[in-house]
Amino acid sequence: MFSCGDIVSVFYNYTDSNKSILRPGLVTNVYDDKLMIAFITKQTDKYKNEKSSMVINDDDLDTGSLKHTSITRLHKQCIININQVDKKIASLKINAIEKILKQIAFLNTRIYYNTIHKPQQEKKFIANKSRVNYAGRIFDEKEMTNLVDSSLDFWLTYGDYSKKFENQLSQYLGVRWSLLVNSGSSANLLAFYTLTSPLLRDRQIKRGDEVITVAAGFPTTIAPIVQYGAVPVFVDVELKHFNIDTTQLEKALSPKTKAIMIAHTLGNPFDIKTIKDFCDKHNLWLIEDNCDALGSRYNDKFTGTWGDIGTSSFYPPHHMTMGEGGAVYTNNPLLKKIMLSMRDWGRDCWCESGIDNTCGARFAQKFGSLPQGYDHKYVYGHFGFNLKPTDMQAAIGVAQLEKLPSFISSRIENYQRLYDGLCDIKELILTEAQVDSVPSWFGFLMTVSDDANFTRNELSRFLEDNLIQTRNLFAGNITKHPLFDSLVRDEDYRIIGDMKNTDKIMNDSLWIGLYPGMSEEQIDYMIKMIKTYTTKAS
Amino acid sequence: MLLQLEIKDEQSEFFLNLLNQLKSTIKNITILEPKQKLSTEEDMQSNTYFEITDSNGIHHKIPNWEDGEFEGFGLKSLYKEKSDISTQELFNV
Repeated sequence: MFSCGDIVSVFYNYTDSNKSILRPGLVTNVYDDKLMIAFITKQTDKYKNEKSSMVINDDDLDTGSLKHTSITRLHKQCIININQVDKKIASLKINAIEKILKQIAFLNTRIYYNTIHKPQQEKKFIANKSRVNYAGRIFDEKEMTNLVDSSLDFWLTYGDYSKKFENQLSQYLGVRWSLLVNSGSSANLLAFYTLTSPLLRDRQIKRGDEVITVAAGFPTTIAPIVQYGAVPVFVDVELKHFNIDTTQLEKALSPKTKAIMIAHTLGNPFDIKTIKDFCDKHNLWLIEDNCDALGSRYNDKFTGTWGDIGTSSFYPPHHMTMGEGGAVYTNNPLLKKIMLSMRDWGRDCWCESGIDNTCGARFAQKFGSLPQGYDHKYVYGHFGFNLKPTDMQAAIGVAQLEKLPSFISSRIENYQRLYDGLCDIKELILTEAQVDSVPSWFGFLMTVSDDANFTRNELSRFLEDNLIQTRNLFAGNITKHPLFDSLVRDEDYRIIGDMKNTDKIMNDSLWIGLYPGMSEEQIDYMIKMIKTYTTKAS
Repeated sequence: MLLQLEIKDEQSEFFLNLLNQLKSTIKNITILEPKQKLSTEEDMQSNTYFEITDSNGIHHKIPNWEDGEFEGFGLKSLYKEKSDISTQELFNV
């Protein structure tokens, strides 16, 4: 008899008399002999600024008509008996009902956030009782309502939010194209495999070709090189900025060198000018693994945008998150075309999910040895992957991207507070910011000096015992890990020099957090505990 | 013959509805609706009504809710905050 989206008149009873007068209501739910109705009124101006109010026009009506723009206040709902309804007057179109039901879902999501998550986020820090995590996701109701919005759309795969995110990220970074993928490691995989495309002709990276990189970092910076059958050439790092030692580059170069693929360590840019000049001089590709450095600037230009391809990670500890997620970005139209193909199964067609015949020549082309007019949608130019994200991930990312500038500012401030508090400890080597850079720090790296009376592990253990989370610089020296046991040195990989500094990092470096969710009390507590330990130990 | 009807009085809504329904059967009729007046007492009064026409063309003028009225209406008030811009309370009854 009644359904969601009906506009009804209901009997409103004055308690002090038997007089019944009518009031309008919008049915938002029906169960048994009860209706949920929402406040609806013509007083649009009075309520239009309320977050959960929704304007209704005549166009929104399926049956009946509205002379004036009206408004429904969806945070004002009540349950009534069906016999309190005078009559059904009109009903909304399905599109308007969809918007209303979404608003109700958003309203409840905001209540959920404010009731469940917000108190947790605002929990007061108690020294020695509260844990100081090295990282954490920072979000509010906006991320959650975007996620609900996308979930209710149920598009699921790459969609409108994904496109929006890509455009906004490109705009933020000042690049022509960004492609969203399902993780930072996928971004590195895609970036590297893009350079293996035959479309690059003599610059294509082939199996056996060499890629200069470092061993002090995260495994998936170098994994794609090995997975493809190219040869990683490891050079040492320096202990000032904890990035690639550029004095080793010439030694690493060989006729087979095709690219450099390295990360900006914990947000600190590597010596981009030297690296870029070296790449230009020797016609090498440069992939910037920017997964730990989103928002870092070098000569006032974002890291990740200097090389041929930059990559980002949106895993929760990173500068911004979408749960799992990552991105690749470039200014090179050919690389963009290859990346799109490689990301989307290796296909030649560039139609978006759910859309056919964008080129208008779907059945009118000739490819390879295929028959004339073979469906372009199923023509493959590369041995590709499916690295697309879900639209739910992108929905979170869209909200996070708005917060990114403030996240970066917090990271810079937190780094400075930690640096100021710890710089006088002579047993600890701290990271210096790269010249001409403003790093968007991922973590606060410390290296125990050779003459200290304590080890890195002892300091880590002390901090962990005091509820301060610590991390090593990821793999330390990746070539010492079991995954290299099956590889043959000088055949499957090369090492330049003795990698003394890389080993120093493996043995003596640790880092602590400085993420935007950290309070000054937490930072001061970390400083205090590190000072307590180093003073006692020396 | 062209028939012109001008509606002036406060019952205009009633006559307009009636004539709009007749329009489909009577040709050569032009209805001159009263000009919209802004911020008159009459308009302010009409702002107190939610106005909607049903599928039979019958116009309904129903008094708008007052906040307090709605709070006390129904079996259970779901949300009782003044504005959902601030933190909401759930089932504050």
